[in-house]
Amino acid sequence: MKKVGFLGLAIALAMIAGLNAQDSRPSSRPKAATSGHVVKLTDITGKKHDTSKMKDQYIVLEWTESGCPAVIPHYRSGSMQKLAAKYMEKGVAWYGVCSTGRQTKEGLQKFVEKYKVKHPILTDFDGRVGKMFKAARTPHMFILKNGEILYQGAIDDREDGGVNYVAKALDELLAGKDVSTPKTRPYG
Amino acid sequence: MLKSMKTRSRWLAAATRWAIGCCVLAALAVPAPAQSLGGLGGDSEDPLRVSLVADVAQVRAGEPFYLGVQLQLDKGWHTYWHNPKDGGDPPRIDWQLPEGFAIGPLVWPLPKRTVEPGDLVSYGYTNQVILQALVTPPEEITATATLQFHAKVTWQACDEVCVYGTESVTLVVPHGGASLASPAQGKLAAARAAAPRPIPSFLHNVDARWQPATAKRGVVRAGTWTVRFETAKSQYELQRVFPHAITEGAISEPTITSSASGWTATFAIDGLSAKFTPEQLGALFVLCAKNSDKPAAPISFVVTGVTAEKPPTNDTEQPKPVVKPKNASANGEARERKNR
Repeated sequence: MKKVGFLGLAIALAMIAGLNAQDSRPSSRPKAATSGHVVKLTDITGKKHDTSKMKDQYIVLEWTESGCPAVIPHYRSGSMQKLAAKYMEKGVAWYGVCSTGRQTKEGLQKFVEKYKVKHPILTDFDGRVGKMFKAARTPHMFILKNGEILYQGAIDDREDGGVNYVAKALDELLAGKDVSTPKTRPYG
Repeated sequence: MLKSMKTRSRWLAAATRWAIGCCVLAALAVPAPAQSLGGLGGDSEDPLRVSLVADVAQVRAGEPFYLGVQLQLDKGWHTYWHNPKDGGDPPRIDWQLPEGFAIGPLVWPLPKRTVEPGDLVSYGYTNQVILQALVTPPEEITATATLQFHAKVTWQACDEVCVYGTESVTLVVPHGGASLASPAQGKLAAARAAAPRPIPSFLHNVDARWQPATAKRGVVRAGTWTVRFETAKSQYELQRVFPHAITEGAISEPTITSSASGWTATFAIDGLSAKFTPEQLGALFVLCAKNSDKPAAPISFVVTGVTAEKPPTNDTEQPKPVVKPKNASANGEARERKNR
């Protein structure tokens, strides 16, 4: 049984490799040496994303749900889109991830159009990646590099003029410092 | 003369309609058919109802009384304790009181531990819960015949999905020369009885210590917090332990070890920021009396912070613990407030 399972896995991996080969990525791309948290998901436009190929890049994962009243204010005000754009300009990869079982690509597409969302939204409707990260709420934020989680928790402290933990952590990381607040309790 | 007025802010009605699928993993475990959202169709369909109650029907100057917010939940829904654990938002109450009235911290009854879909642990309440605080009227009440007490309550309730709401509730109570009991007195007293008490005298050698892990570049990021206490183990059993929340960082549910004379609860703590001090640590312990004929009420108490740093000396006389039990109304969020 074990062998069959392993063979199946090998075939699956070969298939993923094949799919990635069609992705026409430059072959000189450095290979990441990480065994930590890896996200391989497809976004709502059908494009595949694989964080194991993103060596030394800061990656933000933003668990999201278009129907969530804790998420919507961040998009209605445009603050989430601005935050993502600001750090994507600095070379950070920013992904929305949706692990809601009954959500659909079409539903998320409407959300993206309504709020003019530019960053990719990854679909994880079976919750596989959500479970791996123990993502519990929306918004629930993670910052990754080479498979290591450098920040996890809430996006902010919800105080007027308060702290945006993700922006603070990214600023610290981009300045070569440690994240001063690596873990908070997510709300939503 | 008890009158309760309800108003609801507009955006909240809207928020309630929108509110589907907030706890992300709650929704993923079992993809629910769309019909299961049927209960959230309209404004009147909130799964949680808020009311304001007091244990007096007439307030007397200088005589403290309890004012409570009652949250009534539909079957299958829950709301949260002040530490919701893996996610969720506890109810938040903003009081607005007549001039000269002071209010103490919230009294949180014992929570229940449940596992939400997606293996998320939550501490909270089902059915109904009353969150109350002690109100101290001024020595002289100058107001007109009736007093108005307001509470703005922001709540989150979840089943497979979560909804938010905010509601402002008002209670109008007359004042006069005598304090008169209200019909709500019994249920407010019952809710207080289900809240933690000071550390009971039948516990000995209560000891709490913080063992920091090696600092990384000058900042302690992790550690373990160990709480021990002794008692006649033939008479009591340790039922449940609920850690208090840490704002920046995370505290695990404890590993419990049992010895001949007592228990040790060890909590793993990580993700700390430089703001952390071990005085922020706390946990609610729930004991139950054994061998009693009728079902005994749980005995609960809170341990916070650390005792003396000295290592324990076995069996011989130990230094008296300086663990400060938070009083029954232990709550990180509550603020003592006095209205002008």
